[in-house]
Amino acid sequence: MSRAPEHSNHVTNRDRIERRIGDCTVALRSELPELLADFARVYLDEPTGDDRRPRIEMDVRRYKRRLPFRRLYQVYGDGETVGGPRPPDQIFPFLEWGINLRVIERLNQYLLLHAASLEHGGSGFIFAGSSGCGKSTLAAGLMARNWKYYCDEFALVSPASLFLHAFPKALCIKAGSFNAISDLGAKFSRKRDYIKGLKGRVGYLSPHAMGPDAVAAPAPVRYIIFPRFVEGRAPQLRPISRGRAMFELVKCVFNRRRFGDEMYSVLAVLVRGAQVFELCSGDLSTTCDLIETQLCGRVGVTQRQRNVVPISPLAAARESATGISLPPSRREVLRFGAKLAYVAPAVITLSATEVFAQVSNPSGLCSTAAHSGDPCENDSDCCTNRCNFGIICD
Amino acid sequence: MAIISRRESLIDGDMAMPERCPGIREFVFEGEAVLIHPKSGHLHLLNAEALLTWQRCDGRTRISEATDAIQSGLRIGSPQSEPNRDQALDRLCQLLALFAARGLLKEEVK
Repeated sequence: MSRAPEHSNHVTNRDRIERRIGDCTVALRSELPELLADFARVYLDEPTGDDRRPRIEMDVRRYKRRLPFRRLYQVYGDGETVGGPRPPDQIFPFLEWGINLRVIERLNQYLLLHAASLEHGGSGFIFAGSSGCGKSTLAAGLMARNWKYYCDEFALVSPASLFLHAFPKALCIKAGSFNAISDLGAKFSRKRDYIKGLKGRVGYLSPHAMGPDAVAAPAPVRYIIFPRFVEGRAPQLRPISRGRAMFELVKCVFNRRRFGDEMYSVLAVLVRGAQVFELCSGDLSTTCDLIETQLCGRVGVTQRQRNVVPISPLAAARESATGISLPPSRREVLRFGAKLAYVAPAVITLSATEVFAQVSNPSGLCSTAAHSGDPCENDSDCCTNRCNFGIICD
Repeated sequence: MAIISRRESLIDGDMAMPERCPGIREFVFEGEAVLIHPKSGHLHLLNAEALLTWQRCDGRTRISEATDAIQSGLRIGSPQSEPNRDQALDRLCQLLALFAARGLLKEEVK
């Protein structure tokens, strides 16, 4: 990476804007007025006065080696180049990506997971998964139902309290989801579309446009969900074992170098204190309905109930026999939920988990090499095209 | 795998006592476990059956005793059919071979 050249004298305060995003102050300097305008529109002009807050300096400048008929711009984050030069219609996504990289570098007090994070009824929800699994669309859909927002790309988990914290960046929505978001009645501000690598056309939605209190206060993690978008499929929410959840969650950690082996202990406690699911999402509205029906009625349950795998033994046995996962009926949920709360939950949980473990892990042992944590040498669509943070995935 | 090639001798009550590599971190969750290999940093997810086997790779438990545990584990997992000792030994050999291939066991079996 090369250092940014010194600023030329023509850069004035009119070329510079500062915004507070969660715990950070982000200062953007650019020669592109439309970029500054978009940045100013999606991030509220809140006081940025606290000097102790991490400060991220982003700079977008015209690329020196000008090509005929083509304007290219280079993004710098805290003085370091971020990827290669980009045309103006790709620069906002690239700027956002650069900010995300700086967040990974700078917000070291948090365990950073690749996930959308939201809050509802005092419970923190983590929707963890790699790029393209539908995190942002799901976050937007749930926000339209008055869920509170932390972030669509990170879960910032405090390792001491296991509370989620906000980094309320603009939601990046793919063109394919524009109509679905509009259908939910979300009043997002979107004036311009951009091109973002393999994702194609994207729009940026300001979380603040959803209302003055759209951003969530810190809350404990109660639910960890691994979404996967399958077009045309009826949405399904299935409990998974905590072992599987930890296995998958490790792959989503961005700053594992910072935490080292402590990361595993934090994740184990996190997983033990939450209910864990995999979500096969389809139509946005139906998927949001499913999440609210299946989970939100349970928000605020006691610690004892939270340790119970939320599937009835009957449903687990049925699934084991038929291979088909059907959500338990309300009656089943109530009947077995009540039973589990009073009768030896550990034993019942164990048998339900065993059934699942055999279904999901027939060979007995799954192995993975998780994120190496090394920044990719390329740009936004990293080496494997699966992760838009430039993290090498094995 | 050496363990599989030795299967015939294992059936006859082999005294081998497989032992896990030192330094492997282990998180057990309700009948499953996540293992973290200290050198490679790779993660391994073990189901209930594999965990039963893993817990007996302590350098003190004989293959024959581990086979008993697997046999009882299989019985719990599939109540319809009673697994025989041969099936249990097969499964144990498969799992030990998997562990060995992923560098989770000491190469020298006692």
